[in-house]
Amino acid sequence: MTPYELLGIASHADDKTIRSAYLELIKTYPPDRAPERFKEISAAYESIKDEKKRLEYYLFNKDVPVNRPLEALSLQTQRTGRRKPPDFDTLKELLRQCMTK
Amino acid sequence: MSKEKSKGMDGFTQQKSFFFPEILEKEARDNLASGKFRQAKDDFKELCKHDKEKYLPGLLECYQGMANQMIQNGQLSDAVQIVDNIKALTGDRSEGALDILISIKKKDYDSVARIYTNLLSQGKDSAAIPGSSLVADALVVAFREFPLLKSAHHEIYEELCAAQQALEDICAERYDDAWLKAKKIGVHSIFSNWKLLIKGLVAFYKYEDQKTLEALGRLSSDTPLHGIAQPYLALLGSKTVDQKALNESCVQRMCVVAGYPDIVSVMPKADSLWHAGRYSDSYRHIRNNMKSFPSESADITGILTRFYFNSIYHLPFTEALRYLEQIRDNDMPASPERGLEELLLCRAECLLFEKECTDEGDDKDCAGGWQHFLEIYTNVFGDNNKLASLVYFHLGSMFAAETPREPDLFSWMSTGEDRGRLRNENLAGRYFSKSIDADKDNKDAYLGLLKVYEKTNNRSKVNKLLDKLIPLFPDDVAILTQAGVSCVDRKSYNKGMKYLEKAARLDPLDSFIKERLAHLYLAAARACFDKGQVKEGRALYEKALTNGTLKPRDFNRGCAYIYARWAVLEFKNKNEDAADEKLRLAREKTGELLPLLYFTYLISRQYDMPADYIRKLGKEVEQEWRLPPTPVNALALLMVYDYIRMFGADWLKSEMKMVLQYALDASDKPCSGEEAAGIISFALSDKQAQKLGDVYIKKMLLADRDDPLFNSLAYQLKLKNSNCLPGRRDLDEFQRILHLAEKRNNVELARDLRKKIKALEEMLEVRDMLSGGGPFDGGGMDMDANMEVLEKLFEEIHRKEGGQRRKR
Repeated sequence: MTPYELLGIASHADDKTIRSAYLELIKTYPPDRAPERFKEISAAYESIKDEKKRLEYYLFNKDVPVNRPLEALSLQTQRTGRRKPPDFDTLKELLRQCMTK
Repeated sequence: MSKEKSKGMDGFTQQKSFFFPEILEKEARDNLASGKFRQAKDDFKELCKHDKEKYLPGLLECYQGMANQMIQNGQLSDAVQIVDNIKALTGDRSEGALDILISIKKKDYDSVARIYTNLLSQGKDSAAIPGSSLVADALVVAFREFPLLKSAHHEIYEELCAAQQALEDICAERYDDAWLKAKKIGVHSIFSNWKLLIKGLVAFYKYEDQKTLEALGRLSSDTPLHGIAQPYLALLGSKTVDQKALNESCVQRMCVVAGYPDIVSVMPKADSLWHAGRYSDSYRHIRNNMKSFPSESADITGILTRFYFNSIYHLPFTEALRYLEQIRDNDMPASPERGLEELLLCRAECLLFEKECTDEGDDKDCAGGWQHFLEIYTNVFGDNNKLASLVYFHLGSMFAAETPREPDLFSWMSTGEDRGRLRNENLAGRYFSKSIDADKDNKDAYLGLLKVYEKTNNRSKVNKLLDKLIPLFPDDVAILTQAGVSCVDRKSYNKGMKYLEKAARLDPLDSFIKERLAHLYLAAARACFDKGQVKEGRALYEKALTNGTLKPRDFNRGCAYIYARWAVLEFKNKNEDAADEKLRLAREKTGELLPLLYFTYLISRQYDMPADYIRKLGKEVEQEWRLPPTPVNALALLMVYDYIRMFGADWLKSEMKMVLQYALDASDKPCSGEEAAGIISFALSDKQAQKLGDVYIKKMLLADRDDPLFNSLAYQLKLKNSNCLPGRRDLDEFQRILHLAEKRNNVELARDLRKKIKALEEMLEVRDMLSGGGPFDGGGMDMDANMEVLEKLFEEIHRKEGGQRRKR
């Protein structure tokens, strides 16, 4: 997961937005109650807190978000706001396909 | 089977039944149990001729088995025939479970509903009717009304409609409505699995993942609904789903239910290619079939882009290289994605290859690669000076990395910093300068350039740059400190004081700044006193005291030692009363008189005091010296001596002998571990003190043979004073001492020993290589006799550490 995804912000967010997101998250995950999560959030914040850091991240990060292409689908589903059901005809077709197995 | 043969077989069976009905019955039941229904049917038919009442149930079971098999295999007309046979045998012509199954297979849902309704009308319990869950599934996926069911069994009909409408609500994103409808379905209803499915789907689209996993996880694998639940469970990373065993159709369904129908035809193949190790094929498949790929967006295209381009760094180098070469080879037409692809490829190449650069030619290629990256970036996104500055800074840092100098024989034992040379000082300087040109606010670039000038001993450039940096970053502690230290080095004390005092104000807890200030005050004060500027000198010593400490052996900041210096210089300026007063204060501040007096005596000599003053001090020292020697004093005296010898004076040699003798004389007194360790550490630093080291080590090991610290010091001393290269025996000895340290829980010592052991192992590995592969020796090697091997050893160590050959 990118630091942006972890903090729940867009990749073009500015310093102020990033800091607000960080502060909100550490209220939910303070170090005494969720130490591991707190560390993750803090590390993410440190890596993009100002423009220079963001550019460095852009240039030099080597993180792999997933281990195989299919996992990108799971990652996108689990982390972001997009979960749109198929249209009714498509769902009917899917259900019928399962019935014929 | 041919008719003749079949007749023959029938004849045989008849013979069997005539003689052994028990045998035939056993055979029939065995065939039935093992699912060989046709054979079993033949046997039971034969048996029925003898006793129909007894064997008819068996025969019916065979027919039912055959019918089920045929329905499964899609042999529906044959199945119908079998069902008719059953009805003929039982005399019951009503439609039953098999008819339902045949109708389901034929997708004749009206018949399904009719038969089911009839069965319910006969008073049969809905759950007791075989296949009722399949009936429920068939009726739901028909997605239409069944008036017959409606009029005959309203409750079941209501539940059927609830399930169908709830599914429609889900697709229309009316999740609460969907759940309200599904709640009408009873717990024991034939539609209960549908209720679970709807619950799971509603939870999924409302981001209630835990609920989704619970609901869909309860669908067992023998219901067809399990097939629609799988993609949802897989998307949420459920442990019940084996991600590696997902088939193509499941992957396709995952794409659809996740809201990405456009990648249904792309993802399964891309994933299976990657899984099979065909990385570049997987990339090309995505690139050629997925819109807007590659992309830096936050959606799935962006994730896949990061995946495909960053995976390069996690593959073995040769594979990564092949992957890059293969994905570079493409004929994609010009487009925004093509430009971005070029950029990402270029970045990947730069990051991958820069680790492999080993000589000047590679360095230039590496720099050229990043330069090309910046050109592409400008074409794709326009100018970005801050980005360019960072890239140049990255290059500058790379080229400014220190490469270790040729290791000395015992570098593996050294505790000091191994300060080597810069990887490429010209390129380092060039790129730091370019970084600054691109962004004048890039402080790190300035500091990098400063470091390059320092490492190349270019003092004038250092000073000029520092003077430039102060107005640019007036409140930067690091810059102020560096500028201050530089000023002190060139004796520009007022300026240095300004910078260092400001740094100290900005960071009052930094001990390094305090140390630098101490140096400055002492040097500046001495300079003032030497010029007869007593008032100024006194003011500086007052400042030194404000910056001072009461620590007993801090010869720069310790208040006692500041007063001692002050006293000497007051006397030099013929202010005897002031001198006496300062000396009195010095004595007050110290808990160790002899070291203080000795320090004062040596400092006086260093400050070129008049001979009679030195003599007077010498007598005071002698008086204290004559008292019984103690190890605590011995250590303090050695520390004083060690401090003063930094100034480098020939007359100190005779002092060394006296101090060593004092320490030897004190060796029979009780001594703490700390004192002994301090004395032995001094012995390690000076070959002349070897005997002193030996004496104290022997003393401490006599008291505690297994003390790991003194075992370690003993061995270090022995090696330091040996003429042999270390060998495997030494490695074993260090392992033994490490074991002692671990037993005594001496964490710091253990860590230090492990480092030494590792360095020694690496050195021995190289030596073994040079000696032709096998272990070299059990002991040391005479240096003088084997200089050629030693030279080869150094070369090999260099090559292993990736150092450059330097032209001298």
